[in-house]
Amino acid sequence: MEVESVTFEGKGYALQVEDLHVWIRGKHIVKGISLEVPRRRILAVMGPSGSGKSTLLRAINRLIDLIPESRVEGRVLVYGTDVYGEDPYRVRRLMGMVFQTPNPFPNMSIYDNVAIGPRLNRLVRSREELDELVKWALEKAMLWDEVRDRLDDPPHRLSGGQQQRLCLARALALKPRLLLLDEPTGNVDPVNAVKIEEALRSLLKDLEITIVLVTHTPHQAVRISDYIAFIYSGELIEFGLTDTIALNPRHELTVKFLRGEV
Amino acid sequence: MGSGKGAAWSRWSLMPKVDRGFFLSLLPFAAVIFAVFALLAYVLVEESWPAIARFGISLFTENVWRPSERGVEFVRYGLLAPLYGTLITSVLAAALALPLSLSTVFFIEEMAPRRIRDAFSSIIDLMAGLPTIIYGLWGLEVMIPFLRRWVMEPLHLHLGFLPTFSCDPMSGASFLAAGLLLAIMIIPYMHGVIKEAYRQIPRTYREAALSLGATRYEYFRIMTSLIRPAVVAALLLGLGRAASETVAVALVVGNAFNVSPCLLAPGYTISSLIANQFTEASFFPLMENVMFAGSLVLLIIGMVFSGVGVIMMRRVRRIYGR
Repeated sequence: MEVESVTFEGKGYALQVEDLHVWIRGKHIVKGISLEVPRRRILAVMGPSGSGKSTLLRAINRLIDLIPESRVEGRVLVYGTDVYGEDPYRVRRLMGMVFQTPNPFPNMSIYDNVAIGPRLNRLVRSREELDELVKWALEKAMLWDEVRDRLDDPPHRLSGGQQQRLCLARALALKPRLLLLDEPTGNVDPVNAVKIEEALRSLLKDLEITIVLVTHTPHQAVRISDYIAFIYSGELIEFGLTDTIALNPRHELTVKFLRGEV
Repeated sequence: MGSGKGAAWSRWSLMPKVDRGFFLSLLPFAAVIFAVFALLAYVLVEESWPAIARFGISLFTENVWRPSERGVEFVRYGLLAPLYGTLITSVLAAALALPLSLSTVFFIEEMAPRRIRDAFSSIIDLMAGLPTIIYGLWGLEVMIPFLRRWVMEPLHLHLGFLPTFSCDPMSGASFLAAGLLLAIMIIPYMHGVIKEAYRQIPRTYREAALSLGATRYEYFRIMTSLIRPAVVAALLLGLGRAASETVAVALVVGNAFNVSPCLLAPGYTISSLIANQFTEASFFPLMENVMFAGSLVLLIIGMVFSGVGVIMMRRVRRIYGR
């Protein structure tokens, strides 16, 4: 797989999921989900806790492989690359991920946390280039102004919300085509949550990037996304443009979820 | 919220009567442990004192072993050779065992199929518990002949210009043989320490590393860096164990007073010296005291290594907030 040579057809999808099933220890977690997301859009995957959202996300970048006794059926294409037809370690290079709980590496400085991706993937040739990239990623994550003078500090000196933006910067430094976020504001204060949402929206302006955001709050989904997929107990109940789903939900369950009743 | 430390003493007045009794009844058992250790240290110092007083620092810096039955003025002892041998064999053992322990942990935890993983875990636990004499006999009868024929002789033949391989292997009993056997013996311990820390790494860091596109090798390096204090702890605990191992080493080290850089030459370690000579020591003036002085050095080495090792393990726990 030659990541650099992937070309983008004007109307190509960034993410295609075809009849995806996931079983963990024999339990059917994701039940036949199919959806497509065009390039440079935000898809919000919403649903109550335990509905399989996080599992779906991990099936996209194959972190599901870490879970013992998991089984996946169906197809996932990321910018045309068949995720299950490649070495998982290589295919993950197409994607970045931000997790529910901020998880900067505790033994690395703020700088190194952002620099580790480019270093691993040999994206830069010189220290100057790396400095530039780290600055760029921190700016994109709206964290640069807060940490520019203490890049060598360990990450635990930052607040939880800052740590989460650091994790966003860490993912962005790889310039991923697809950015996956697993309830990124779930453990973050409201001010930081807003900053993260702003950062995400502004990414689409000048980057070739597509975002999949898992959230359990319908407000966030409606506020931020172009498309919504509503998942309930592993099944895709409704999928479509955010406006359509927010204004004219077709399914009774979607209506209830938007009202906060399920 | 009060701190747990010292609570028993500061709250004595608040403690229910039944708990006071319970507390007092536990105290002697804890005290016994301290008493045994204190007594041990006292005996070591007391018994080694005549030798230290007689020879001073030269007891540890000279290589002489001149026992005599005629009287105390005719004997001369210097423990340099066994000290040197202890150092060389345990450093060699730890240096060989560390990369092997690390890579087996990673292979077993990350790459091996589940059934192999379980089987391997049982085997390595078993290895930790085997009587050391078994290692010694195996080392003497199986490892040394093999090592001599396929490793030591070729090393001497082709790399003989290096001081470490410059001497003739002779019987095969040597620093190298002892170091290798010790490595095999301490791998289960180092493996265990590293494995425990490795399993403590929260899944979220594994996911983070993999989501960044780390290859298996890069993932290994990131995970290893997360448990670096545990790796240091394993190294120190392994060194401590290797330095104190006795019977197996006595069988393969060659038992010669030798301070040579050549790893193919026979040597001595403190514990193998004591094991070999203690039965006759009482016939010679001061020899027992010299051996106690050697044990005292071992005790100090062991205390320092395990002390630092324990501190390092605590640091691992702190990193993950446990």
